[in-house]
Amino acid sequence: MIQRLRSLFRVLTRRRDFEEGMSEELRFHIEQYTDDLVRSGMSREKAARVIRAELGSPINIKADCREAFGVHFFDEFRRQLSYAARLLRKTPAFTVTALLTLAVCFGANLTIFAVIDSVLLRPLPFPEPDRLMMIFNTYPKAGVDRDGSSLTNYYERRGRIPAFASLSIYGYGTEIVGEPGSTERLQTMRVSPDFFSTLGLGPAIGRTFTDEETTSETNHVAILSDAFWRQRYNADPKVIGKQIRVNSVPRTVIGVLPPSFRFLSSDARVFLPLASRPEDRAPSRRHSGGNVIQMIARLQPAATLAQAQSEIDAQNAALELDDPQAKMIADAGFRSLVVPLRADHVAAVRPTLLLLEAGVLVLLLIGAVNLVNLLLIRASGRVKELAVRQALGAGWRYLVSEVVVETTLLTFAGGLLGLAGGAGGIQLLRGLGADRLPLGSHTVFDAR
Amino acid sequence: MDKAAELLPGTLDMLILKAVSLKPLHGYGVLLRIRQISKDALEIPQGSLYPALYRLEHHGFITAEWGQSENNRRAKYYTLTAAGRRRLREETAGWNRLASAIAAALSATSEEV
Repeated sequence: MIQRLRSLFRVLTRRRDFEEGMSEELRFHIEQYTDDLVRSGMSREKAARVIRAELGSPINIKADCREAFGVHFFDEFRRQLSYAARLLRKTPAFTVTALLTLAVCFGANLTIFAVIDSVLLRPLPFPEPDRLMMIFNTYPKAGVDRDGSSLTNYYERRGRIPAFASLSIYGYGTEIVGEPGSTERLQTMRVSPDFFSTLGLGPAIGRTFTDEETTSETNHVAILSDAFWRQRYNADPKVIGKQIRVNSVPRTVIGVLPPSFRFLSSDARVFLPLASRPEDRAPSRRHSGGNVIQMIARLQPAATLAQAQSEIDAQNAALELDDPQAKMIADAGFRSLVVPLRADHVAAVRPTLLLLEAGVLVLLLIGAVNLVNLLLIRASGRVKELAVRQALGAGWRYLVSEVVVETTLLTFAGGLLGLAGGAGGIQLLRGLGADRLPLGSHTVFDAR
Repeated sequence: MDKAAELLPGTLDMLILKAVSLKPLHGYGVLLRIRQISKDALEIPQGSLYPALYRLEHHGFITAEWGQSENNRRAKYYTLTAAGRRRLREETAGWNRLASAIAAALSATSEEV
């Protein structure tokens, strides 16, 4: 099988050599045979007749030889392809309509699917992202559905919830970064020391924050994003230990994140330790989240979300026992919810996106029906032609393969246009603000 | 030519393999060689010769290479490959089995029945 494919490939790539060799071989045969016959006393004319009778038509022999290698399929295909192209060129109105229909349908589907892929399907860029959970306080009866988490929650839960391998907190911010005179306002994140280990992706060079760096006296350190490092420091590997001013306070650079690091939709350039005073961590501040600080955790390999939820509930119940405000908190319907990080992050746009996807699928269906209609009309216009050709001896197999080749050519061309349309559509959506969707800035035209 | 026997279907390939197994040959040489080794008893259909050669080459039983003929013309020479040699052995064995079985059947007499 492999031998035959290889020999077919060899012939197809040296098609002219194959044809010339075949002619030369037959010519050689005829000349040699003629010489032999003439030498035995036959006249040249008689010899030619005899050879013709014994050998048959060289055209047929060559056709049989091509068939022996299987190249005749390709000749046939090429002929049908050029015939189809000629037919399509002759009916520009049909061709353009069909191609545009295909291009619009494919393009729209590609575009929306690229967004769906980026927002809903593509895994977060962390190891085992499905085990990342978000935990937030909710007081539904007090009208507060989401209140983030408090520092107290963090220090009370850290290491005490067996279902979690790691638990951390973070908060978004903007900060003035740089030396006086060349400052810029940048997105930043303040994170607890275990933030990077929870995500499973830490600095590419340098180190992460330590527990000692979480007070306002010791937090003069910073970790840079890859993009910021390249742009500000020209990717200098000796950046570790250099000073960087954040809000005019000098801090020491201790690490640089890998290029793939991107936390959800955040575009943070500089990461700082989330520092706090001991009184901020006191039990009385347990319910002071205010959506400033968010908590994420990584489940243990064997643990489930339900297990984590029940452990959190149990701890909350135990802690509320000696809370002077316990009754008020209970009346507010207080709970701490554990939800998958990704699903939580895109929950708001998920239904809309699915609706859009359904829309473009319907568009595709309508396009297909339209195209079938167009093709039917075209086919009914060709009934006579086909009948005549059949009467002249064209086999139905041949006619069917001709139509299949024509339709395939049309759809392939439409598909290519659709790819171009999709690439354009994605650019358009980015221009319209697709990157403001959660995870939307990952929307790209690729073959993942 | 009247005395030449018609080839049974499927035997042409075997004869071609046999002919090129003796010595690399061009297409016309194959024709002459088969005539020679069959003592002119077999006439091969010339129209089928080249398609058969091409088929055998395609299957890797023979390889083709351009060379010089006896009278200094460019000609395509066919050589048996290892796979072709194996194939020839198998076909020869199969043919011999068939031929002796048919011969035995045809020589049966009424006493043996």
